[in-house]
Amino acid sequence: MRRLTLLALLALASPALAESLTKDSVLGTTMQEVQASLTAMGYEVRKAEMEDGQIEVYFVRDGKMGEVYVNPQTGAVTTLKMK
Amino acid sequence: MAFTSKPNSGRTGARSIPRARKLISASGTTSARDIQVWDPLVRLIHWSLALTILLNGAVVEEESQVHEWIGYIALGLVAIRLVWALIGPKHARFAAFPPSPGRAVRHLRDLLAGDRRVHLSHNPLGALMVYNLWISVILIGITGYMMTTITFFGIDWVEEAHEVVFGWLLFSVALHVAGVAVDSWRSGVNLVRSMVSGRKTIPQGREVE
Repeated sequence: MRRLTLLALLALASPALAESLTKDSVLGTTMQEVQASLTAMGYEVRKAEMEDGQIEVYFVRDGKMGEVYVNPQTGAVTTLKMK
Repeated sequence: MAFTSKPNSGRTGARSIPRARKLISASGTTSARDIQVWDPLVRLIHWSLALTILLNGAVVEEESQVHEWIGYIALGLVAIRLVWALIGPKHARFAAFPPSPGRAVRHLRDLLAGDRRVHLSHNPLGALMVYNLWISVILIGITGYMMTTITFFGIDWVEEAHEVVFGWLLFSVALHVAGVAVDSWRSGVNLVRSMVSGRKTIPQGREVE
């Protein structure tokens, strides 16, 4: 029971849990925009770089890590890799 | 007796006799010998480690699971070799090739002066290279593992370190191969063949250390 309460509190305390990155997310057309979107969703941006013409960002959230590739023309996610 | 010195006989004899004959006029009284130096585990680890470096450096996708597994295998191989250097046969032990810059410098000087002595284990320069290669693989393995942890995932310096040390490893491997070629030519012992067969065929009259 106590654990449940704790979990509930945790969920309430972190608004980030409300919105998660998916393959359909649109994050922005510049590296700054993509980073800002991810930060707003509660992700910790570890690294951002251009990779094969795509914006690649390494992120961490809730003990999980992943990489996302964004098309700078459309701002949409092209690849999402969770590790 | 820690190593067995036997006359040319059996399998390897056929190959070493002609070489010995050629050297008779130029050399002293000791006859050519075939000496067992590298045990099967040393050879297996040597070639397996070379394979892991080749695979992870040039064949396997960098961010793949396979790359990670091959990296752990490389770490495991070095770990086993280090234990073997404590408990293995004489020529495989740390004591047979201590890391000594002083000895390496002296060896280099002797080498330039035309010394053609044969070392049964690694020569002092080769010894430094062996430690360098192992340390490099360990550092690459550690930084590689770090990249998979939440603490160091996406952290730039870890990735940089992983790549810089790998570059150093490639340079070292090139130097290692060059060293093997030079020492084979200098000492008259085909070192590549001895890492395959485990035996060093010492030319007649050659001093052994």
